[in-house]
This record gives sequence, C-alpha cells and structure tokens, in this order.
Amino acid sequence: MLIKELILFYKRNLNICLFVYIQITIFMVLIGTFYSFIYDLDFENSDMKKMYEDNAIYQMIDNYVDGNEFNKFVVQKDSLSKLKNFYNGLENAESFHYITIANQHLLITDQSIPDKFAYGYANGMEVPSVNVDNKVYKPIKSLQINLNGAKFFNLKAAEGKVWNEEDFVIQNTMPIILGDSYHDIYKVGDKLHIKYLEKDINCIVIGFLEKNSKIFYQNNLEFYLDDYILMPMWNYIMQPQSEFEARYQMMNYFNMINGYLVTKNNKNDINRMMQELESISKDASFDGYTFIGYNPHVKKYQDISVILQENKNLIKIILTMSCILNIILILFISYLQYKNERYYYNVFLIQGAKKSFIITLKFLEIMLIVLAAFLTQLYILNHLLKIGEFATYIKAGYIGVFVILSYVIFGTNLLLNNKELKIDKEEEV
Amino acid sequence: MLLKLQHIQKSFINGRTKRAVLNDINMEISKGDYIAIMGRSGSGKSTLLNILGTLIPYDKGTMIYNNQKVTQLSFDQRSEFRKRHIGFVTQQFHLLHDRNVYENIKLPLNFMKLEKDKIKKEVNKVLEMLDLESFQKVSISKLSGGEQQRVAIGRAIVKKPDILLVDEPTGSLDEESEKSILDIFDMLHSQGTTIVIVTHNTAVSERCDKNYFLKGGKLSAPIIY
Repeated sequence: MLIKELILFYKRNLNICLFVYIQITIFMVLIGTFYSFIYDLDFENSDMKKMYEDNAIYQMIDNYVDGNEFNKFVVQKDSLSKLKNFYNGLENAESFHYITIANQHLLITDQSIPDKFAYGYANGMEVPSVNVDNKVYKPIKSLQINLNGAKFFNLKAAEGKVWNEEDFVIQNTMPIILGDSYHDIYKVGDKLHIKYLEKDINCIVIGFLEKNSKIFYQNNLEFYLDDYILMPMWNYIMQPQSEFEARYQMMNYFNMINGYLVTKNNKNDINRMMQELESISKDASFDGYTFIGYNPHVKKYQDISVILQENKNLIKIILTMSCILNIILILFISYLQYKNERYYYNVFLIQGAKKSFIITLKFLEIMLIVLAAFLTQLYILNHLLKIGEFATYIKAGYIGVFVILSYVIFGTNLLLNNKELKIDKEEEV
Repeated sequence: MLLKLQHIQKSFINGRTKRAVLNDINMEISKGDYIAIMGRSGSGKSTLLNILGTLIPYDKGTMIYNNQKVTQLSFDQRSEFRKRHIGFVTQQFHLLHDRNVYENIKLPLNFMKLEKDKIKKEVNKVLEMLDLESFQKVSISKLSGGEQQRVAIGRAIVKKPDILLVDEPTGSLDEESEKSILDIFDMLHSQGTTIVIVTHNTAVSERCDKNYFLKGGKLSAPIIY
C-alpha cells in the first residue's frame, strides 16, 4: 500500500516534485563544485606555497645553441671537465638550490606501449619508429631530473619508492620511476632495456608516482608526469674511457647546466646567489651561460595565489549564502507541498491510518527525491564535470542532514497539528 | 448500550478567549439506533460528531463503548478505534480525487490489511448495494455531488462499522439526490446499521428514530419516534 501511495503522490505532485528534485540537484552540484574548488584551492595553494612562496626562481641556459659555438667549445680538451666542474659547483652551492630537468626522450624496443607514451604524441606529431642497428625502437617521453629537483617538487611514490641520494650515483642499473599511467604496463621490479642518447642502459622500475604528480617545467606551472618515465640525472665522476662515452657525458652535462636557481626572495640572498654563481663560473672556467632572471611565470603564480587566497573568504560567503537560500527554498516548497498533501493525510487518518504510516510516507516521499538528486549530482560531478571524489563523500553528509531535517520538520508538524483532525474547518464549532 | 457519553465538555481556544462548545453532554447510542442530532450552524453538532468518531479529544467526561471506558486514548489508539468501529461520512465527502470509485471505497480495507480477494468481495458488495457498479472505474472528479456522496457512504460502510457517523448528508445535494441518499440510510438502518446523522434538515431528522437538539452547548433529551 505504501508503494502505491508513493506512486500516487508523485503522480499528483509531479511538477512540484520535479522542481524540488532539480532544486536539490542544483544545490548539491553547487556544493560539490564549490567544495572541490575550495579543496583544490587549498591543495594547490599549500603545494604552491611550499614551492614558490618566499622563493625567487632564476633560469639559466647555456650559450651554445649555435652550432659553430658548440663545435668550438666541444673541441677544447677540458670542455667536459669545465662542464662537470660547473655543474658540481651549481649542485653543491650553498646560497641556492640548483634544479635541472631535461626532457630527452628514450628508446624502447617494446612496440606494444600505447602511443600516448610516445615522444611528441601529445603535440599531434606522428610517432615515428626509430631504427638503430637493425632494431626498431619506439621513442618514449622521459624526463631527467637531479636530486635537488626531486626534493624541491616533493615527488611522492604511490607504489614502490622514490629516489634517495645513492640513486644519483652512477651504477650498473638505473633506477627509474614511472608516471601513474604506466601502472597497466609495468610493475615495480620490472627490468627495462633502453637506449638513451644512443647509449644502452639497463633500468629497473623502483616506483610509481602519485596520480597527477606535477612539476614546474618549460614555463608550465602544472607539467603533469603521469605519462612520463623519470630518470635520475647521474653525475659521471669517472673520466670517459672512449670517445663515445665522452660525447655521451658531454650531452648529458649540457642538459644538466640548463636549469633553475632557487633562493630566498630577498636582496641579500639574491646577491649572495649572484656572487656564488660568479665564483662557481670562475672556478670552473666556464662562462658559457646566460642568466634569464626572475621567472615571470612564478611571479604571476604567486600573484594569483595571493588573489585566490584573499577571495577564498568571499567564495565561502557566497557558498554559505547560496546554501542557506537553497535550504530555505527547498523547505518552503516542501512545506507548501506538505500543506497540499494534508488533505490526503487527514483522509487516511480518518480511515484508520496510524501516525507512523503517514510519517513513513512523508519520509519516503522526500527521501526518494533527495536520493534521486544525490545520484544525479554524483553522475554530473563524477562523469560529466569530473570533479574530485572527496567532495562526494562530504555531500553524503548534507543528504543525511536534509533527510533528517525534512523528517523532523514534517514529522513534528504532523504531531503538533494533528492532535485534532480538522476535517471541516468551517464546521469546527 | 453501544456507545455512551457522560458529562462531556469541549471548548476551543481562539486567540486569548476560550469558548465552551459542548457543555455536559450526555448521550446513549444503542445498536441499531437511527439518530439525528439537530442544531443551528455553529451549535457544536460537528464537534459532537467528531468526538463520537474519536477524531478530536474532549476536555472532560467519559465515553463508554460496549461497556468499556475509552475515555482518553492516544492518537494511534483513536486511529485503531476508528478503523475497527467507526464509519465516517463527512460533509465535503473527503474523497481522493486521484483515484477511481473502486479505489476510494477500498481505502479503509487497505488499512485493515485484508487479503486481496476479501477486499474485492467486500467492495463489490458495496458497489452493488449502492448501485455504483458501472462507476467503479470512473474518476471521482467526473461524478456528480450525489454520486460522490454515495461513494463516501460506500467507503464508510465497506468495513462494516458498528456506528456510521454522517455529517450534513444533504447539505450540497439537489432534491432528487437528497432523497436517493436518505433512502440509502434507511436501507442501511433496516439492515441493522447504527447511524448517527448531524443535520439541520428536518427532512433528514424525520426519517430517524431518535432526535436530539443541540443548543448553547447543551444536548436536549431525545425525542423518540
């Protein structure tokens, strides 16, 4: 009987139920979106704070883009030593942190790796096969990063581990870390044979990064690493034993001296950094670099962060006001609906229905609408808007509050107003 | 004695003023009685009927049903009492307009949790008795006032109540419909149904065996025909 009465209720109140359903759905989507936004804002902000707050980031590039200049430099006998000394000076500097990242692709013979991991794929380039020594390789997206960089960007492993200091010292097998998207392809402990800058290297997978791990790279504040293979930038202490090895190390070190200098954002520290850089350059007899200066993107990011933080309170106020308005509107509509329905409840009571039947009926009428709205907003947020998962759990609490609120309000209303069944108001006395 | 009221008092509070509506009401209803309670508009007839039907509680006094006190019942106990013993025909009929004649008559049996077959049998019996068979699938809103009144009576009697309480049954009916409805009450009375009708229409009270008059909150002694 309860189900039949429910169906009849929805039939006779179709428009108003639809309105309440849409209103609650909008309300929930609004809460979910705002919550996700504030949550993400906090998350981004705390991450940003760690990386950029109070920091000045300067970029350094080498001066050997021109082929002639490059050739002139590499033919010098001590060119590699100069590069090594310069790099080691940068890495061991006291007044700044030196971060270096390169995106030199690597080659893998496994052709079954999906194209999205291939070098150039994201830019719409065709993925060419590379033929080396009668072997067909696939170019794969890869990033090389030094220890300071890994620490600065606070890279965390979702599975396995991230590098420690020993992993940056040359050894037989290179420990590599994979982006989250590689989960379906490799597992921790898998061994890979790669070709990197024409050199064959044996690698072992030591971990997978957390999903959506990102770094600041190529002026992109959110450079996502999910599709990348991360290699440690090894420091080659040993002198090269062959011309091939020398060329290999040279190419590596040219990658390594292009990077970022991070120091505290105040005059004293910046001055100290400049002085120390000059001293490193002098000691290494290497002055083939250009100092780009304070990175404008980071400055912009810092400004945005300040604005967002200041506006967070405003957003919270808007959200709260919107929530209150929605609650009032929903309760008002539900109350009007309840008033319309009192006729039916009274008829049921006259015919011998118990109060519990009416309250259960009212509870289900509201709960089903709220439930439908909840499922709809889940679909909208998770499938259409693809907004964070965490927010949905929070909203479950709101649903509970809603249902209980409605239940208490209407239940109490019923208890208070139906001590006497007013069947014919005008004939009361 | 089926139902007995002893020294019943009822007042309503309207703002700051308390208005006594029923004052020391004594009344006896025996099985098979056909009673009319007469009075002017606002005399408290409907309040008395609602107290008899346990729709509203009273302030003071005693109500005895089948030699058992039913003085102060809880809300749900009153519901249960109504379900088992009382059939109600209200002035505005209080039918459910989103369902048909059959479903309206069936309503009280739903709350009694009877088996489907039994419900069908009882409803069909009532439909036949009230000449409503051809209307059973018709929506309430498509019926005339007289037809709606018959459906309301059908809904009240389908559970075979001990007492049928009727509030102003002819208030909104034309002469022909009025006669037809009163004939139905006569028929029900002849079948042994106890009926209490609240009315100001003498055409109704003339058909009853016992007439009470309500004036100034007091109930007269019954005039028995």
